[in-house]
Amino acid sequence: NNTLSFPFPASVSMFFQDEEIRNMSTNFISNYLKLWDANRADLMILYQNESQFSMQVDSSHPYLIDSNPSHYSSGTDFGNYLSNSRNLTRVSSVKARLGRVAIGQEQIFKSFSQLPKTRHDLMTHPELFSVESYRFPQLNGIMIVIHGSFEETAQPEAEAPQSVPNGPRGRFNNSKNKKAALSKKSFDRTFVVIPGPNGSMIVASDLLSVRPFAVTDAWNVAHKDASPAPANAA
Amino acid sequence: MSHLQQDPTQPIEPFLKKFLSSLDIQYNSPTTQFPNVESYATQFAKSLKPSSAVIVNGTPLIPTTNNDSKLEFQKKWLQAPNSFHQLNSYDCHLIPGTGTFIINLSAKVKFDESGKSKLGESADLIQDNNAARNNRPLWGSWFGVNIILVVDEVVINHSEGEVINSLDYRFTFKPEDSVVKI
Repeated sequence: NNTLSFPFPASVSMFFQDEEIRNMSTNFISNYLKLWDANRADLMILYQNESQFSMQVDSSHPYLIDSNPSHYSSGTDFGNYLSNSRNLTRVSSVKARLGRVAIGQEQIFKSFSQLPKTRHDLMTHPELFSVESYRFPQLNGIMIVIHGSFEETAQPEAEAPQSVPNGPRGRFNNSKNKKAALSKKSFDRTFVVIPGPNGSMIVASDLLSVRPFAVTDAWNVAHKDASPAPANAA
Repeated sequence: MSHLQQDPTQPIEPFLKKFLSSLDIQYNSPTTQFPNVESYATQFAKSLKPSSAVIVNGTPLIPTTNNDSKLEFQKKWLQAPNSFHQLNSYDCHLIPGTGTFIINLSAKVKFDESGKSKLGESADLIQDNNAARNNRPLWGSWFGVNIILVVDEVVINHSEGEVINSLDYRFTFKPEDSVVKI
């Protein structure tokens, strides 16, 4: 039935504007995520004084309500993210809106340290990821957009600031000693990467969005259609 | 500091909401009337520039000799079932020296699963035109969407203009019970 089709070509997981961009962005992504998981301090070489990073939480993004807990152990505890979240639909104070963008290496590293440690299974499970990469002509740079998921493996190295530092706290409300539960999460991340000196790359802008863990049917359409139908007679 | 500190990104939220709701305009609605299909379809994503780069679910839209990418997008969107987008979250950076904002927005969208097109046509053999006009959409489950926009800085003063340089629209979640094929 035509009226029940999304009238664009079937969803594909990867888009690269040309070969040069394919090479640059696949290198960038695999190295970046490896270091993000291993040692975020090593990523600082990619950031400069004017580089910007911020993170937002979309806790109401749709996801599959756990039907198979052993396989899709998703969690919806965003306690490690909320106090730094720059979801601008929810952050209204001017101070917080401006203060939650990290600018320059020092602030960016601090923000990175306040996020849980992670594992991205890019090499073993590339189907968990989707990428669009295209030129950003205003800066002679490229835009690299990654969608995917990761496993939280440990609590953040540094503690995030409390969102209401001086506010009243009820006796059941004191979250100071309560650690957020670690789980799988999904994310969307947008990098604007520009050429630096001696063939290096610089991240001008880095926007990370974190949401509940979702399976990858949204971009593995062909893969899914090709799989055999489950046997009913089991 | 002599004047109040202002957040320049404040007007971006109404702009984004207007952009999303432009995708959801219905042809047959009690509140809006369009003289013809063209005047209806050209309302979709009106803030795209004619030359915008548009990528939908990993495939770029290729402009044709007759249609620029904006028109091409609008023609395609006209064929989509009626939709309803909701903005969940967004964040943005003004990129120094470029006069542009990068916006990363997270949304959800549901589609009309009644089998009727935006213009009220169905694939049924017997068409009941009155019913088509009056039928309300049968909304399906929510899809998740991530949208990346590169928008001219002037959006903070002129949210009505053609300010979008690129649109990257990606489904991030597909509900298991949806009958809409992506």
